[in-house]
Amino acid sequence: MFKTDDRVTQLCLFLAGLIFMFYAGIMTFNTGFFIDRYPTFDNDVTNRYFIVWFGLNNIMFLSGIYYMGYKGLNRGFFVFTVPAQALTIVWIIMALMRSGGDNYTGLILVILSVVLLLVARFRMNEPFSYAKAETAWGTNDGVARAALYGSLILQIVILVAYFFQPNGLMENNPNLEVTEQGSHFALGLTFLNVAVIIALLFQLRTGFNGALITMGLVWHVIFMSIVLVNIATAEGLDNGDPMLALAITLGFIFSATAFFRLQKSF
Amino acid sequence: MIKIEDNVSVVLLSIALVFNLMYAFMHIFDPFAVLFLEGISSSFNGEMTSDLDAMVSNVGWFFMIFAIGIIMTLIVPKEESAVFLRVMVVGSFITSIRMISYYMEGQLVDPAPMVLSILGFVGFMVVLRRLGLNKGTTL
Repeated sequence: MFKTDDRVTQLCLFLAGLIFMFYAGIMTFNTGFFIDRYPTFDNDVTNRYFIVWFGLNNIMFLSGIYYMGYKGLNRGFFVFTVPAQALTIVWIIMALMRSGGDNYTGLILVILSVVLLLVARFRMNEPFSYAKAETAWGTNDGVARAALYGSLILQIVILVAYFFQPNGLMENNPNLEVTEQGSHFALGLTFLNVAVIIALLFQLRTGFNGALITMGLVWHVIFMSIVLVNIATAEGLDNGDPMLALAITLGFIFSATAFFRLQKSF
Repeated sequence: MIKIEDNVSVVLLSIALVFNLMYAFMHIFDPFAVLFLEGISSSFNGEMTSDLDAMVSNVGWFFMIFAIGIIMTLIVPKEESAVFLRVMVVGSFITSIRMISYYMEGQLVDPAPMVLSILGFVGFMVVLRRLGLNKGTTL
């Protein structure tokens, strides 16, 4: 497993995967139970919407662990997940400061996941210097490069848009209300957005990365299917957030194009 | 990464993956399930009871399991997926017959589930044949 004989690395990644799986399961599929663990959480539509979203993000992290389980350890996975989880720690601390600290389980488990990931990364015996690839994105395939540039531009646009309209995810969706807790969830998604940009810049410099492209596709396939569910059940295209649907659809096209053009190399 | 060399089969399986996930989420999450049942059924009264919720969610999880099976099919040599694809062909055939029957009897007011199940059956059959896995074919 993980194409390594180092038991410590295997154990660390197994436990990190277990934490991702735990939060993926509980946040996505048992949202009410998750909310009940936090006395200050309001059980409203906005909070449930974002909690499911965060749960699905954990499925993406988990897919990276599975990928490495079969394909071997991959530096790109850590370049993305360590900043993502580290920013999540900051985000949880900010949330606890606002709420007065009602439940520390999440904070402890996310800190533990970062420690486990860092131990696995240090034991990989691979350098922390990231040499530049011969070409941008490490490929001469023009279509794949265009798709990856498209992904990067899309993520930067999403990041910039947050600063212009921090509550845009709620304001643009008629089913959601702008709440203080909802605003904090939107900030958490922006933190993830920053980690995604780091991962894309890493690939721009060192070449495309199988684990990261696969994780991106997993996330986009899940969210694209949810967009389709919304279209199928909303009785029209105006009962949701069209900008979000557009961003997910574009991201899905970029991600799928990059994956299918490059997958033979990983 | 993808071990199947036939591009048409990869495209068909990828489409099947997205639609299986879509139906999985549609059945697993309550708000979607209620809207879905209201859209397709002539007798659903809009009240999601706990036992109905459990059964509908269970159907969603079957779609999720099929989606995982399709991912596995894409990333392993085709010979290892022969039984799974045969099961999917038989399963989607039975589902298609049932959906046609429900639609003809008027229990389904929306033809979309029937059409998708038929397309699923045709799609899996095409994949099975294109990969040379249908019974009697020498691999």
